[in-house]
Amino acid sequence: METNSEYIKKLVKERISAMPPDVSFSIGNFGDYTRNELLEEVDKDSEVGRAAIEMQLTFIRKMSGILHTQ
Amino acid sequence: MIIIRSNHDIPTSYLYIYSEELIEEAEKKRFKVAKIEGDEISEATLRGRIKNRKPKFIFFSGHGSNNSLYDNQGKEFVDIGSADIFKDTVTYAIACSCLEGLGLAATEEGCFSFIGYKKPFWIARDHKYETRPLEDNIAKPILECSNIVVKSLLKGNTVSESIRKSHEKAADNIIKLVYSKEPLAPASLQALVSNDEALSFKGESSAKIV
Repeated sequence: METNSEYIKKLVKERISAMPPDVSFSIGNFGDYTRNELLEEVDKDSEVGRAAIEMQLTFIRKMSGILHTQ
Repeated sequence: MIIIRSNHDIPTSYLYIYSEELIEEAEKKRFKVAKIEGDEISEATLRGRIKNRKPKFIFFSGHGSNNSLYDNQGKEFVDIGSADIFKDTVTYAIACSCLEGLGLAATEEGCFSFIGYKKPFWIARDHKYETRPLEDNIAKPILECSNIVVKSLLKGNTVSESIRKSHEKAADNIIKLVYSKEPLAPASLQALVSNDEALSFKGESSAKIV
């Protein structure tokens, strides 16, 4: 059975994978990451990967509120 | 006002180019703008300029961390130990994660208000426009929302009003991006929502620079 953190990682990876390959993310002094590099960082559970997970969770949490108020 | 801009990699090149309009806006409003850029960025240079000019507003764009801001070589040039440098100013830093540590320390040392980000500052980009950031419609909605804080302060609005204006602009851009047919719009949307959540301030909400 999947743990909560494994489920979250899988969800985040699926969301990142759904983006076109010609997108990059600049994450301050962590550097610049293509879609595929960001996926690798999530897999490695690096600081950047954890930042990507936090960003995606913030997005999911905030968007439901934003769309609800429109 | 003093504007400090690093420009040594792709994210800082985007921030640098998008801050040009802020300098033009400030000069139109008759602010005396002192720029500290490139290898000039150091604590000593900043202290010297502050001593000579006594700015009401300091604006930084570049890299940061919880406790510090980075120079053009990617080294810390201001940290919690030197946070008194922001005394008697309103300061805004478009930099990762610097609000909770450095921003708080600055206000404890007499900075009227420190505006910044509680988490990493994300810029989503389209590869095709790496050398033409102003044409990058994926980055633009994100940087419009961070720039509007400066534009609002220049108009004489308070810190809290300026942050509210950024949130309002973000809400408008979020709705446009939700309904956009641009394939890269979701990347822009995610970065924008995350930055908008992270934008806040320490110190006086009623502080102004005019």
